[in-house]
Amino acid sequence: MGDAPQDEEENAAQGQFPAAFDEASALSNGEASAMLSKIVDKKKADDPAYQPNPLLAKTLEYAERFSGNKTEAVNQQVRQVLEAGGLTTFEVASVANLQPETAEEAKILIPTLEAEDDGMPRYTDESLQELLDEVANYKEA
Amino acid sequence: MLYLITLERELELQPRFFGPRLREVLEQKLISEVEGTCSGKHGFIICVTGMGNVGKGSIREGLGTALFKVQYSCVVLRPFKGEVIDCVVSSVSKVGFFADAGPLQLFISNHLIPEDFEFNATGEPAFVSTDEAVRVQAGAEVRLRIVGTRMDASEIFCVGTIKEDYLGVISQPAGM
Repeated sequence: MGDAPQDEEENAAQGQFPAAFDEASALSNGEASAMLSKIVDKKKADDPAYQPNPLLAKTLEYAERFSGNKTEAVNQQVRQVLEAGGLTTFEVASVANLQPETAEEAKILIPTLEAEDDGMPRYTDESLQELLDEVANYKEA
Repeated sequence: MLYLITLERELELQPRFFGPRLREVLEQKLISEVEGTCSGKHGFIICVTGMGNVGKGSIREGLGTALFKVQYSCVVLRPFKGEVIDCVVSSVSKVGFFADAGPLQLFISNHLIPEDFEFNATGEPAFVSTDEAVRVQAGAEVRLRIVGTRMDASEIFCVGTIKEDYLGVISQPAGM
């Protein structure tokens, strides 16, 4: 703990994450708010005097504000669609949070979506758009 | 961005806790030691979501206390350079504005605000677009890209930009 290994190159726009996050799974705001509020509610039930620490309270407030008011089932479906589409954990959560409407917007906000794989783009605009449209359907449901 | 991650920590326990409630005591101790802390490597540790394997305790010579290695899963908040997130503007001045994403503080300098925005100090300080349709002021929600992070032992601070396509104000406070 303490000092950060600042020399370790990290850049989410280029898909470079430190090794400590290899096994981590990114959470969308909706998923995080559901998970954290469950824990807080349970602790409050066990001990009515329980107060979440300031960090937790702020995070929960933030995650709720930007969760898009989706149900847990919708969050799960969105995740399934995006994971099936081959997105990394960071990209899944980013798309779920930012809800880009067009493939162009998605690629600008999350540049790793534009990366190439063996000279072939990972996603053509059409294939990415299909995924985004599918996610947008759940948004309205 | 928030992550669910598995971490490990060594906990030191006094002999008076060695008993049937050992696991419970360890969990309480774990929560009080790690929740709310911050490290450069993992970011803010927001909340312990569960405790996994507890290793065999080893007695420390000459002390009688025991060290337990415990694995736990937790939610962490860790900003990365390059990622795009939504934040709430907290204060505006002529050199730029501050925004919050939960416990995370970000600063957006006026060099990283599009040129057609001008600072306006009359009334609520704000950066206002030339056509006066968009105001960056306290309470507004903005989408920004993190361009740099600085991690201290107890704090994370980020610098962001809204001078790119698809970034900027996404919703203004009510009454605008």
